[in-house]
Amino acid sequence: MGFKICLLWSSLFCFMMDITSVAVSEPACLRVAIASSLLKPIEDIGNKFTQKHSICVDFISASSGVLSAQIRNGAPYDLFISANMKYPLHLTKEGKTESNPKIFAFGGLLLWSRYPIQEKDLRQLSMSAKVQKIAIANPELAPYGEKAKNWMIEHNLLKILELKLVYGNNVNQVNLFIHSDVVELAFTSISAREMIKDRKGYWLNISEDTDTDLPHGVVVLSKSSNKKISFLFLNYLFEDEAKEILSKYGYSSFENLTLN
Amino acid sequence: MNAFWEPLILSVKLASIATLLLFMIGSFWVYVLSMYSFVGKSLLKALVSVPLVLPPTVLGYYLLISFHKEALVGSFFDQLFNVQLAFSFEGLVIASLIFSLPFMVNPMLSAIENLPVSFKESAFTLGKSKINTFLKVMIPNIKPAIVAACVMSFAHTIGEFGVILMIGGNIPGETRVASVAIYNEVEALNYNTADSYSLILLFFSILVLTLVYIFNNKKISSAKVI
Amino acid sequence: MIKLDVQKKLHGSGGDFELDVQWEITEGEIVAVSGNSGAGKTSLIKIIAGLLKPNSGKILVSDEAWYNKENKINLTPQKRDIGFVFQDYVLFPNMTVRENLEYALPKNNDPKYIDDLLKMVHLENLATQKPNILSGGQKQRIALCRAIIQRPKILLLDEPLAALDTKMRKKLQNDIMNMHSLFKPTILIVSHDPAEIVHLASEMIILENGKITCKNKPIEIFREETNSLQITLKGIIIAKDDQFITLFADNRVQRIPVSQTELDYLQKGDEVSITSSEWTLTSSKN
Repeated sequence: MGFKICLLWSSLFCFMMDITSVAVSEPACLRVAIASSLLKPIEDIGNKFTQKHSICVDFISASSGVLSAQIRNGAPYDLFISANMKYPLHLTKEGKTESNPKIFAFGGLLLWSRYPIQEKDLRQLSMSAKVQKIAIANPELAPYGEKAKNWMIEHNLLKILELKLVYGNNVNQVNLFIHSDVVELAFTSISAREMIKDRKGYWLNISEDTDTDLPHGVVVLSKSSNKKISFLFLNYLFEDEAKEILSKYGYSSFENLTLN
Repeated sequence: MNAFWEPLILSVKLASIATLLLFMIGSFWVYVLSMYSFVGKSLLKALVSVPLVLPPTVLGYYLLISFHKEALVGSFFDQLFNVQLAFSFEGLVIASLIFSLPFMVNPMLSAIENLPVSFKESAFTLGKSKINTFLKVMIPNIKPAIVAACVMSFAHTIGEFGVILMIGGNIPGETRVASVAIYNEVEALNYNTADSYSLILLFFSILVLTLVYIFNNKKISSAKVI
Repeated sequence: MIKLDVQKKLHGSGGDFELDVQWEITEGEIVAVSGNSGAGKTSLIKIIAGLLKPNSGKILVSDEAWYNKENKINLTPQKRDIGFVFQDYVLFPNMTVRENLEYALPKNNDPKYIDDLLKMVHLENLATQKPNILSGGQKQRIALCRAIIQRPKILLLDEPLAALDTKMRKKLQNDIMNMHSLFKPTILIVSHDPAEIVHLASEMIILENGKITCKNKPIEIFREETNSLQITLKGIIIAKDDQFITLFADNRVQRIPVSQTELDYLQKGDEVSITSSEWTLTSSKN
């Protein structure tokens, strides 16, 4: 009796596990791992891509650091779009990419403030009691967080402001803090202004014009099961339609800047 | 439209498969714990309940490293079933089996331990084996607890977030279950979609629990002696 | 011959004590185990059944070892040829009466045997009922049928009639006698009721703190306590007023006159003994 039960149970178990693998059909859509700051702009580009080529695209967004770690651990993505070049280059070194990463745009650091702000008053405002919480993305995982931290170090503000800092997992969580109005100051990406249009407040672009600290890279991953289409998408990012969308969100495209 | 329903369908699929598998695994655990006494039994009971008190991130972390292709569990599944556990639906199923196990085992075990000891002893004196006693005498007398256990496991799996986020990778159609999708939509500032998902899940949970309690009350009142 | 020689440490409300019993029972007899609560009666029969493991000793049934500490023999209850009736009847609630008996019926046995047993206890019309609607007495009789359906060598009864009223007890005692005459199992019955023990058993033991303090024919044991020139009634005072006390004795409430001194020192709850050397005997047959 016991043996019959065991047999029945184990066959049911195997059957169940089989069903779950059947559930995993070949991915019909392209899987793009995208840095949080670039989600909306690239989603818009993706929609245009789908209209043009009838290929659907799925986006998985997180901070560039988190995505990079996932890819290292075998995440099934076709492309990786990072807010810097550091992470994609690391992956190339480890043999996880199909080719070298390419820069398709340059980002910039954007400051949001609840109160009116000008660059010269920035230092005073951030130190005042009016500002209780300052949001930045986690510097260890998000290029924009790292950039924000460096900016504070350069302006001798880090030690003073450290206690007021609130960390978002990625830039989109920072945008969430802005949108829910739970912070007085926030360091985010230039795309945020377009992404959270209905938020009252004041924006200040604190990146220099020829800022090359935030080159955004795109690379096709070796784990991709759809390399041909992946490259199609990658190349699409350099077409005029895509560039138009990127500049709408505040990004400068590659051609307008020189790279050392 | 399809993209909207996908996470919900995925959640239901995950919870259903996990609950079914858990019922099999859980009944086995309950059998061993209720019919045998051995050294380390208390430890085993405690181990079952560990997922209840462990922070989901701890569980997620340990699962992530054991799902790696070179690790024991990961390589086992990779070689035997050609399945990669990290970032896959199968991985979620395995994770669900662990973190929902106490919700299946504890109600059933509790109910069985509350049955009079003489049930078991009676069956033994009639010459019935342990497994026969378990299946023919014990299990049929804890039906409400079995229903409760299955529902709790199902509901808990639908609601799990932390572990799934850590080992799932938020992949649409694969591991982006409803709980993760809500988080995703909130981050992307799509409050409307997040609202819709949340309301549906809330309504679903209330509905399922209500049905279970109605069912249980019916059973109890029909068994009442006048 | 059933030879018992068992020792087991038991925990009682008054502290720990050791159950230490040596007893030879002739097969086919009905024997009784009596004693105060917590003396170890239930433990003893559970040890015989294999539901409780002794610390040491041996149990031999017709020269077959059921338990032997030295030779590391300990047969499971499933392997012992026994039937057991528990104090709380224990019919399985998920099965009907018939299903309860079918569950106990050995394979390849004629299912008609179930009907015969039910007829014997006059409960054939309850065959399709679930146990939850049966009365205590009905449940007990079914439990008895289920315990003997396999024709066990030893039938163990743990205070089976304790929760029943006098009329039901008589019925069940007769059932037990009838079953005994069917295939002559050895019956061990745990009981407090002297009338019952005298009616059914040919030998009895009294257990006190785990040891046998008396082993004899029931009538001999009970006779020691009685004086044939007097009749004694034992009861508890439940109320007192002007010149009477109300007491509960022999399952009935009685009110009797007492003297003033007695009224003064007697309190509600006291156990009393009433002895009389004059009485009138009336039989219910008249």
